[in-house]
Amino acid sequence: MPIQLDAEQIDALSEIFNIGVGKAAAAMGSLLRDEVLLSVPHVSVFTVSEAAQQLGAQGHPMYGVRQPFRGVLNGDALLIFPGHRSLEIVRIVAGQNVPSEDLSAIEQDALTEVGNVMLNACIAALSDLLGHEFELSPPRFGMGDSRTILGTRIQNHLVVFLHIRFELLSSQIEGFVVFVLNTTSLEGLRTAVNRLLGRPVDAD
Amino acid sequence: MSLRLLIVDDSRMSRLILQGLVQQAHPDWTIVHASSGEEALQLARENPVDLVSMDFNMHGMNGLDAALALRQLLPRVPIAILTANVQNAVQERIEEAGMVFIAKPITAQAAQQLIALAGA
Repeated sequence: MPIQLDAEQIDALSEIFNIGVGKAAAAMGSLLRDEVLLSVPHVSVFTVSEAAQQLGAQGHPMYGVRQPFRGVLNGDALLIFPGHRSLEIVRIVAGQNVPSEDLSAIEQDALTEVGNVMLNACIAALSDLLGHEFELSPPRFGMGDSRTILGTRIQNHLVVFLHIRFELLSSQIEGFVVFVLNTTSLEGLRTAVNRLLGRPVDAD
Repeated sequence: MSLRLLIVDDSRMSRLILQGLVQQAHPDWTIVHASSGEEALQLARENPVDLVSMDFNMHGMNGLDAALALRQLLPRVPIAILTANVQNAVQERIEEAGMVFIAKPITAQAAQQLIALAGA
């Protein structure tokens, strides 16, 4: 099925995503005690394989937190960090409350919690804007190359891929916030965006 | 007054951060941890607590269901749902159930909100 979003819908989707990630950045800044710089959002329709290429070269190690969501849109929200900076992030988040010898032991847990706070803030902003609640299951941690991080999807399936790059100002740690929307929820996406644009909801 | 606080969260780091912040203000408090709603209920049956901080999105029983079950066991104990799930609908559901909603991330301010529930 060809996926068609017109320019106005893509613009609306970018702005919704931008607002959501802005909220997420505020939550992350509070957690990491740092300013979070954001790139402009990108909205594309890709195969899963192409989406993985956008995130980085195959084989490059990454850490990712995946937050599945279901509702008017279905998909995954992802927070992706480069693997080699992970302990630094854990150290910042845990602060003085976790003994330094315990930091490695809680690495996955700490990164999952960063993802939990950031991605939930983003999803809550989307929920507010779209006027629909999303059902969330607990976030999942993953490590590996970009294909692994994107989860067990069929590589040639099409997805709506929204991504934004962020950078922590002081530590210069970079990463991505990514939303992968299943195309099965495309009609819901069009309806939600049209409603936001003030168009008749059955317009296409 | 020394109180017994139950922190329920599937994130160990979150439990440790909240414990650290609470104990900065109240080093005499006893803090017990549970990593699931089911474990929290078991602990509360064995040793009653004075205050509960409960995560919302957890594997198994979700935080609101666990909090409602805890309320049956400990009807006078204040329960806060401390969660990253900050959707308005979720906050409304928590408040309609008579629980206190506190948004993550866990900060000194969030810890103070929790401590205040105990009148401490």
